Amino acid sequence: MREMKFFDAAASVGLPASGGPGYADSRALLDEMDHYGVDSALIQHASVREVGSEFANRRIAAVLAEPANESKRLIGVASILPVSCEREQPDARTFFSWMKANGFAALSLYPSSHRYLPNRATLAPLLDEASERSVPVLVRICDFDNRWTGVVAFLEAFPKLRTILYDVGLWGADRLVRPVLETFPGAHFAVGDYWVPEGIASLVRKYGAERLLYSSGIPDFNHGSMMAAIRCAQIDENAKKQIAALNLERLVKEAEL
Amino acid sequence: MNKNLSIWEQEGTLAAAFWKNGKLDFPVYDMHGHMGSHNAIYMENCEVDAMAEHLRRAGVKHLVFSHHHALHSPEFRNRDAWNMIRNQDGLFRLYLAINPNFPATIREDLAAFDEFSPLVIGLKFLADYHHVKVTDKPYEAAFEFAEARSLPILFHTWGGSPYDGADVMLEAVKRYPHVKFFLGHSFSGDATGVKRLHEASPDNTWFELTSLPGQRGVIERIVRDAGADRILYGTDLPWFDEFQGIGGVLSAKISDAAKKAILCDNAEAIFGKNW
Repeated sequence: MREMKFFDAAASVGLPASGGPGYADSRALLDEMDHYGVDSALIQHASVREVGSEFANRRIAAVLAEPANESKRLIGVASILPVSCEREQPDARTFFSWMKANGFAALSLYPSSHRYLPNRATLAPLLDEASERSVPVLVRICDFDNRWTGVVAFLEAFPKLRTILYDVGLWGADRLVRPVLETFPGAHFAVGDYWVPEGIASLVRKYGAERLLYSSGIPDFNHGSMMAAIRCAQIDENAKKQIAALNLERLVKEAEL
Repeated sequence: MNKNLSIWEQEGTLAAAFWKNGKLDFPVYDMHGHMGSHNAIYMENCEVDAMAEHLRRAGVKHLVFSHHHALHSPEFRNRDAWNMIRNQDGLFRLYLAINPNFPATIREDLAAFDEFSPLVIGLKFLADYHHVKVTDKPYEAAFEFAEARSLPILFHTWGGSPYDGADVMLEAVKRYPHVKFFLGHSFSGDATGVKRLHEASPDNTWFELTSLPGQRGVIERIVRDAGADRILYGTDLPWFDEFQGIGGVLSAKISDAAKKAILCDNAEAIFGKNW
């Protein structure tokens, strides 16, 4: 097991307003990760869509600062908002400095839940800077209006951005994912709900292992099933290690905050 | 259990064996599959040979399936699906796809059931897609055929569905006590469906797992509500990957005995060890 590290690209911490399952703090999430052998995780707040970016970012900063995360196995994802709304969205330089100081390494956006348009008029100063600095941006498909239409428009607006597409839905997304991987070289795909038979091997053959990332989707999903799928995929051992952890480690390392 | 080790590293467990070998040392039975292309999804590995290779690699002894085209077009018949699998050493077993909108086809297919045996082992109802309630008249002939022979019927079931949700199936299990009700997807999205069906009719209901392994806490809930001995493993192959599915069962926080029951023992209790 230890010959393969796992770095989860899509985990949540915090208690959802729905009363559904969740992890109250870093200790609870780390215990669950240890149960399955997951080494690290990018974490977002479970209620970021409902409670908003400001609260979620502060809560994630507090979780990252907990003693249980002393080894920094958990790394934060900061949710962004329109740059015109200055009280809640600081300028890029200030925001990235705050992220670095508090253990964040990636951005996310929820344009549908947070009611804004994910285009250049709304986000250019922030995301152009993120492109320049190679800061990865998590793109949750179902939180864009018109889903894939909205996502493709977003990627066209910010073609140099490093993105991590996730939460594509269980029911076969190849007709949607593959054109995006072909068209946008900065797009990466977190495979947590990509349960296609021999699908990981097929994507590796076509687009290379470096475009794929392990993700769990916890707390809706457990860590284990996609660990097994990657472990048993018909790809070479190096490709498995890349998908399991090395690709995301590289993306985090290359983010210049 | 050593708390310093992950589930994949616990010596002597099913999870550790699967992690090491990529398969288990007992046969796995996938009780919910399909075959063929699909209107809404790109399926690279949906034909006989590719599916067979995937199943054998994962250590699946039988996949029981209904063909997509037989379910969705009257121009493709169950006999066509049967002909596709006759030379596959029994790896594939078939549910006769029942489309309630074509009663003459149902009559013809049921009349050929014995000819199709032993590769055909039961029937498949897809009421949500055919928009006919399971308890309505168009399904009666197929139900009565299965009732007389105590056959399994695999139902697509879904939480809240007016065609095959828990309320509908409660009526059906009482009406046909000798039918083996394989409740596909276990009323996905309805956290009380399994418990209600199991309490109402514990002897002729089994809960099938397609799309659920990997969803956190769901298998654990079904084990609590119905018992591990009432659960059947399934993947919808070619929709979902066997390694993800088996990995999802092995990742559930249940005993190894319960995991083996789901993947193997329960199917053998119904069909025997040499089916």
